[in-house]
Amino acid sequence: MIRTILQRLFLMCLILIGVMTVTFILSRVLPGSPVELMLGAKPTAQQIAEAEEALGLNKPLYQQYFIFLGNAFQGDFGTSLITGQPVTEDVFLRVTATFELVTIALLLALSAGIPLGIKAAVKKEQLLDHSVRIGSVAAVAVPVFFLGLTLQILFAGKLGWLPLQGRIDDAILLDAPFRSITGFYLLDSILSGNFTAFSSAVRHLILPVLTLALASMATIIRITRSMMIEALQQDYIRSARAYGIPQHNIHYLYALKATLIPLLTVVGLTYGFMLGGSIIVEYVFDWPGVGGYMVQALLNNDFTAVMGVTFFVAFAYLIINLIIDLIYQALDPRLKKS
Amino acid sequence: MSLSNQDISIWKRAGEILRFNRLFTLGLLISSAFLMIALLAPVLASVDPHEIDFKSKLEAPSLNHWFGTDALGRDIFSRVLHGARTSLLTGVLVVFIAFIIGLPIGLTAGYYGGRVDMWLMRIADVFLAFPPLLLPIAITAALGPSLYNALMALAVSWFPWYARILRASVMSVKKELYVKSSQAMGMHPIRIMLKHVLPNSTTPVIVQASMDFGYTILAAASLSFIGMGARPPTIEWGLMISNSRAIFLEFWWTAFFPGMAIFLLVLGVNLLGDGIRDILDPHNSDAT
Repeated sequence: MIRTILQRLFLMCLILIGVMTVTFILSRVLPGSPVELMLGAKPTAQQIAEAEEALGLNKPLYQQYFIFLGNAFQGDFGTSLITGQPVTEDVFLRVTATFELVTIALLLALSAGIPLGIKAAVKKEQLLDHSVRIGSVAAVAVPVFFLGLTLQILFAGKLGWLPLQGRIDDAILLDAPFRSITGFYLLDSILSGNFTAFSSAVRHLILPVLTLALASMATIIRITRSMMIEALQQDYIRSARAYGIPQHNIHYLYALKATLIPLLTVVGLTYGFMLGGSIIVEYVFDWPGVGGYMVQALLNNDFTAVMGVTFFVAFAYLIINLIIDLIYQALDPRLKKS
Repeated sequence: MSLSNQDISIWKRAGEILRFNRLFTLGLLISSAFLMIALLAPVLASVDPHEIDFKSKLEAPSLNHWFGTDALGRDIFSRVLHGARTSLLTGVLVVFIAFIIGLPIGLTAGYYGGRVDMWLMRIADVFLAFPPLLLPIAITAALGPSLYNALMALAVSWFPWYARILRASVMSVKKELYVKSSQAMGMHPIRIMLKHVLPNSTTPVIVQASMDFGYTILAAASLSFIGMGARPPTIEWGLMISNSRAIFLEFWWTAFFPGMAIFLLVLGVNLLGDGIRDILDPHNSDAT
């Protein structure tokens, strides 16, 4: 087990260097040098030279590359041109907002998707199965930004039930602030016993979470369904039926177990899919996370920030995949032997 | 002889699926409708999609303007029709370019195996280490936002999937007797790859590509939505929705019709892709 973990870690480091290399290449082919962006319209030749000196851009490319790698390993990705803060700090300020959004969306997609997939498999070729399947085919086809805007029109605009955007009512942060313990508003507000803040946070979460979760839920339904159909045809299920074990137990204990391992792979992919989707969703809902920060950086030509975020999100995704890989190893005894 | 038998069975399967799988038929209908719209947009739309008319800006849908008008008084119906061209072309080009990049890589990695395979696949892993949408956004930002760059960026982030799938399928095909005998006869490896291995290992990639088509259309529209794709005067649905972002609460039609167009097109091509998979690769079908 320890050997596998070490192997994985080594492989991850290799890929990480690859990711840094890609980020480096991208930051060097940018239109217009960072110097021009920094100095504005008409800098003098001397100003340019000084700035290049300061940024290390006058060194040979391979030296720049190693400096970049060295800085990156120390978590230094330069300073954002817009906020004037180190990109790393900016990202850490916003990462919990994104993590809260993505995690809750993932939990929703799983907790609704798995039972629906099971129900559809059990009632195969019946009305429920058909409607779930058509629903999931349709859900995958909805552009995430359009879904977000539509939910905003309906629930914030026409019905006025839910807030249009943001993470919490700003008034609450001013009037009744709660301590930041974990950075997750849901947890922090409960831990501080501030229920007004909690309900505001929940109400702000509903629309972005739904927007982010819908397409993934459809994928999870689809995979659970086809895995379940396969599992339900196995001999051990037939034996279980013959023993007279209640249907509910057969479906949720016996057959579900067989679908968990393929589902775990899907969870990894879904997490990545949601991290990508969160860029759009955070922009639509003005969610103060890493994705929204990235779009703002894009719109303002703040490439230092864009490349920093690119690296950090890829890094988070690698870690998540590593964890899933390890759970996979632990769950599937067949992998342990080899 | 065996090839023509296979051909017949594929066409037969296609016929059966067309008759029994109503969703595939629906997908085929929607996709061909959009193809026709894209081809005939200038004929179908009576109004010039670029024509600005401030006197009739932000008009609700009416008999004059079926889908209403946007903030510059342009006819949304006409713009939605023309947008079909952009989206269809984007989808086709992204999948095609990704396929072209992935093909030699997957073929080489699968055929030679060993170190070549190891290194090529590690490079592919680096690209797959980025969550979808993140790498295309970063690449487009680096190249400068335009539809063309967004296309390239999407293709570059997408090719490792095809390389991987092709590699797996090449690895099984190269064990076949006809490949072994060509090798024994001293045929040039490149000729073996192109003549014997490639034609017999592309099916899984084609299946995957047909299923990815909808996703690439969505991704391209998303890039345009955040300003990293099509720019005016290009008519693109994601861009139309992006432009109406500040006003859609009041003027819902400015976002609704382009959004429905993306939804319907993607739904159509996804259903079509599922059907193509059922025809070419019946074992992996989830219609069981």
